[in-house]
Amino acid sequence: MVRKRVVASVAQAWVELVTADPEAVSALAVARAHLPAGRALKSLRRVRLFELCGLLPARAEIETLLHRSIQFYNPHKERCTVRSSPGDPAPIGDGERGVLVFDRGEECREGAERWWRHETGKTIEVREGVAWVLGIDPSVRDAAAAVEELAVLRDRRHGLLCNPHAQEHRLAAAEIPLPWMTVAS
Amino acid sequence: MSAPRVAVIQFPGVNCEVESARALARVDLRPEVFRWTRPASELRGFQAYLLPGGFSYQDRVRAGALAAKDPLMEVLAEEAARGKPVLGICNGAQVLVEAGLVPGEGGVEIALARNRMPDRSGYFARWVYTRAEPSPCIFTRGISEGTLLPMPVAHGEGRFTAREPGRMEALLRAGLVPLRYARADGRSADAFPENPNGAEVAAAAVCDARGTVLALMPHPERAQDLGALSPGMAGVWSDARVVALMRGERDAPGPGLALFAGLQRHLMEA
Amino acid sequence: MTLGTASAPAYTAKEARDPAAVASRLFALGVTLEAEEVTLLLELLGRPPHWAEAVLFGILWSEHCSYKSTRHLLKRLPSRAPQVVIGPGEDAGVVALPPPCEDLAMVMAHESHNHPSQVLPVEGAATGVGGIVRDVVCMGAEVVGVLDALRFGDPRTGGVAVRDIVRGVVRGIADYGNALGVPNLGGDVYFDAGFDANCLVNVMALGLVSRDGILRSRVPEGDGPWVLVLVGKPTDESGFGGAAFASGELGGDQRGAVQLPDPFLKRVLNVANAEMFRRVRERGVPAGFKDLGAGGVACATSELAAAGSRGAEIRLDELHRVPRPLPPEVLLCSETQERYCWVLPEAFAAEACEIYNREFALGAIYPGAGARVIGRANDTGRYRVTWEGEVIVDCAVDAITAGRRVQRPARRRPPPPPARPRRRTPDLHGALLDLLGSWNGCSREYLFRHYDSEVQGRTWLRPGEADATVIRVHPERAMGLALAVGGNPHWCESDPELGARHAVAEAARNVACVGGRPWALTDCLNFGHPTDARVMGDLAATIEGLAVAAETLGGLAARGEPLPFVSGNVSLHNQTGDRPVPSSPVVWCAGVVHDVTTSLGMSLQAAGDFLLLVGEPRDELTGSAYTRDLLGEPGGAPPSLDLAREARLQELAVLAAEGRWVRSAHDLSDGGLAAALAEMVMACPPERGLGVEVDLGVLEAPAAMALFSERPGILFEVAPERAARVFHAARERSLLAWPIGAVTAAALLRARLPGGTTVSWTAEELRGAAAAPLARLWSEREDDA
Repeated sequence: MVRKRVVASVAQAWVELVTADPEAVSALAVARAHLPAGRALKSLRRVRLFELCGLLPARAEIETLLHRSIQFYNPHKERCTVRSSPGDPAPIGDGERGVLVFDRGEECREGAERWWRHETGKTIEVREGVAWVLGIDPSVRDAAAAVEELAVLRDRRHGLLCNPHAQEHRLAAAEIPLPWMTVAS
Repeated sequence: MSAPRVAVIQFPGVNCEVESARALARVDLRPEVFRWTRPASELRGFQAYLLPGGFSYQDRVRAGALAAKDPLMEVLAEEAARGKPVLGICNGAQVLVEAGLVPGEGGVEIALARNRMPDRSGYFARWVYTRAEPSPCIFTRGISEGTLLPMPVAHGEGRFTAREPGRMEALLRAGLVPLRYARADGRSADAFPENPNGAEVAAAAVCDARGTVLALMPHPERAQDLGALSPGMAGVWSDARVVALMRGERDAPGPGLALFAGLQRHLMEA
Repeated sequence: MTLGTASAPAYTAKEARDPAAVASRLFALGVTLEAEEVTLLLELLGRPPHWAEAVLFGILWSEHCSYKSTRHLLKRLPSRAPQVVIGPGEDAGVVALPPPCEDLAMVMAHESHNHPSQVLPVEGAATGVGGIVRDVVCMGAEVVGVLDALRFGDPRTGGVAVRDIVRGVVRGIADYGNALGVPNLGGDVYFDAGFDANCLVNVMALGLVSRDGILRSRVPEGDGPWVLVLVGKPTDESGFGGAAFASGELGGDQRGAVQLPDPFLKRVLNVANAEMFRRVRERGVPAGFKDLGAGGVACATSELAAAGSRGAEIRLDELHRVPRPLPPEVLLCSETQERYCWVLPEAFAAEACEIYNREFALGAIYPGAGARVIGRANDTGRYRVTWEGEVIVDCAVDAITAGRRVQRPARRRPPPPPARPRRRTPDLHGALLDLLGSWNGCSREYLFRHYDSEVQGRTWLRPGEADATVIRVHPERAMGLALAVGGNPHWCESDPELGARHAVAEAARNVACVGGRPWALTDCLNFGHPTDARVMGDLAATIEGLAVAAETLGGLAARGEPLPFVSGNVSLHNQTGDRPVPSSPVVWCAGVVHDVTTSLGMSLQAAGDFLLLVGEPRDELTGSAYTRDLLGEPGGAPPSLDLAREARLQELAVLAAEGRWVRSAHDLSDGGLAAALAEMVMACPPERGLGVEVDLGVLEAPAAMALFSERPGILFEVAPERAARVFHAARERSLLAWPIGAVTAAALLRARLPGGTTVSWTAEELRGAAAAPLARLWSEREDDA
């Protein structure tokens, strides 16, 4: 369900645990042990990704607002990186690839939107998904194909990160689009 | 002939193994809690399998996603293909769906998505009515069509859905939705909270074409004792409960036990 | 984080001549010792303490561990009764069950996790549940339920910060308890602006244990040789020192000082523990067991060694820990979650480690988790810790148990006069809807639907279905346990002593309403700074009130005996600036239901049944939600309470249930008779279409008083042929009883008022009003409302 409105500007908040993420640790272990494509996987990180869309303030102001509410993240255990222009770097390393997964029709965060309106008086849209950051063995010839195979669940031996019957996914290499989740229409 | 053995598969994080085993024992089956650290091949010695509720691998990645890849599931899939019954309850249902054991034979065709509820999100616990539908399912065999079975749900990801529009309707027509959420008067639940998660076609359960593998979101093992039925429910089970309590009967069978009895009958005939 | 070399002196004897200066220097480094403790520690050890020792004693002598300001006051609470197996002093109380379940005992523990929940609601509440569950497990018990008593700020005036805390705490309790596989068996919730800056999160855990399987937190009798086996998560720095809850800084805070809850590991650990309990019991292996909480390895092992004046030697190098290097005093005292310590015969240690490490493969569940031998218990009378060949702690075990006591000035305050509201609401129809739509009057259903109340298959009556939740001690046995919580913060703040009496009476009355015999109590006392004389005065008054009520209400378990407090906790410093939280004792009562088939819900059962009100006359509005929330006047003193009559009222309720004289029962509390009637109507399934029709004229009180007085009472639904019996039983006990109406076949609450007019509410409008506030809060629609 994409709500139609003029896209004024879009920002992303990348929220990652400061300690090892148990979900990523388990997913990596299972993928490497049980999936043919998992052998290509060297590392796996899990980052919660918020996309904010509307009349947004400057990046520093966005950072301050996000830090203030537990609607977005917990600064005691997570770090947050904000991108408000395509030139801002995403927290993805060289050679890493991103797989964005979100629950179809369940990505909007109305509580966070109301909180934002309370604080700023401005109406924005907030969506949330998970960005899986995959480190692929450089010796693998078709890294994109390996990522795709790990991403989309087909059966017990193929795919893990996205069950396409309930979730959407988007793939990206080094350049992460902004917006990535929000579809302009 | 000794009672058929049923493995209650204990992945790390599941938490309904004890009461599920009790329900099996009550219908004269021999349950055995099968820990995940045991060799998978030992599963072959059982006549049926139960994947109990809980949070296998803490629902990491997605509910059921990691357990579905476990080597135990390969053996289970082989045994299921031979016609051995498998019942997945709640988290067990999520594992079966993610492992592709329902509705098909290996490919993932549907999902148990996050609950969709007005004004709330996440985990939701409540007693609901389920209604028996025409189906080859062995667990509901003998329960006449339209019978209401009250049971509790308690989950955050229980919405049966598929990418392809009409897929769930097709499963319903094919008899692979043996239980649907209903209202107290027996009509299909068309809204929250009678349909507690927004499941398409109000599906509470999906089985495979043979009817021997069942992914069930409500908890029949929590409805095995009539006296423990929630007083917030109405209908014939509720009336029977009042009578049983007046007589001081604690062990009268509850609505959930019917599904285990279906399994037992099937195993005795086999 | 390094304070200094662990085996180097924290201060010299010369420096200790100015103890205040030493204390403030230590404080800056995260070690809390009061000035007089600086001197005391020097005397106890006969030399300057090593750094590790200063850290250890700083924790042992903290208010949290030592109860130094309150221990002498707590002695006033009755804790002896024939059913008590282990009273206060261990991690949890143990209480015998009556025949035919004398082979079982119940285990009760009660704690607060207030400060952590205020700062980090989700993690704070979750680790609260985790901690209380450990307290019960370490008695050798299976944990069969958790309850929570929550006190939040005003969701409207307190702003989004308060609402975030409400949502976060509920999520933390749900995430942890649901995954752990322990049913949530209710509790209570209050909202008041006095909790805006200090929420209260009290958690309670219930366990069941075989009488011959009770484990103690001590070194068993005999020569052993004994080893200490540490089990669980690898030790890290989480929760070390006082720095844990300093505010998070913008830009990524790397300390990782927050205790991270892990219900997944805990679940597997509990299943593995159960296997250990089984083997230890079957084989008759002598064993001691303790959970790790505040003070970590140091507190757990030193207390194990000190119980019975034994001794221990800990080799810190053996500890399984995270790979990054950590100083020894951190390893010794950090509060890493999900850990336990066994004391076992050396010959059994390998098998024990095998259970955790291989059979349950803890290391595969959490990297680095497992079981390891970390030291020995002995009879040296000394507690020693070594690290890399150096002794970093070496003291007599008596020093550890010596404890501290601080006499704080206390000032009692006179109780306020009863409130006599002058104004009245002309619209009584709107008044009830407003009350049901208020924060303290609304339905809690939205909240408890987040919780799994049925896992384990023992649950009989769930939250919202009865005045107390009921579980069976075992699915195949008739006996049940009824559980309820009491503690109205408005009453306790207004008159701490009378409020505390009510807290006990209410918890016990709720248990009695479902047919449970009040069997044992726990308490948690949530107060402000102990240095504030008013706070200490309120605390003393509260303890007095609790004691007096408990002394009167134990007769249904053992005639002439008190209802014993078997465990408890004191939480001080719930204060911001000069504003302490409202005096907040929370009382938990567990009762015995001899046959669960007799237990009573609050839902209406059959049209034509009579409604009887038994209890105190409706002659006061003081303390009522009506006065406070609808009229907006000061609530005034709590309603008066006659404890002897209260005991007879509870006896009537229990006999009525056990004898199957009545079909449902509901206690009158917040919102009085009107709210109680509405709740009985709302609890009934809509499809059954039942309602009530009452005539309030018989109460001989003005309409508002009849409807909203909060004096104690119980509403019974009685089949007509049994009504005379209940009346007779009430008269025998000199209790007042009024036939106020009947159950009808229309889903309405209809009340004929004293003046002759009739007001009525549909069940639908009552439900709508009561459901609205929490749904609004969760979806953050306060502004739209």
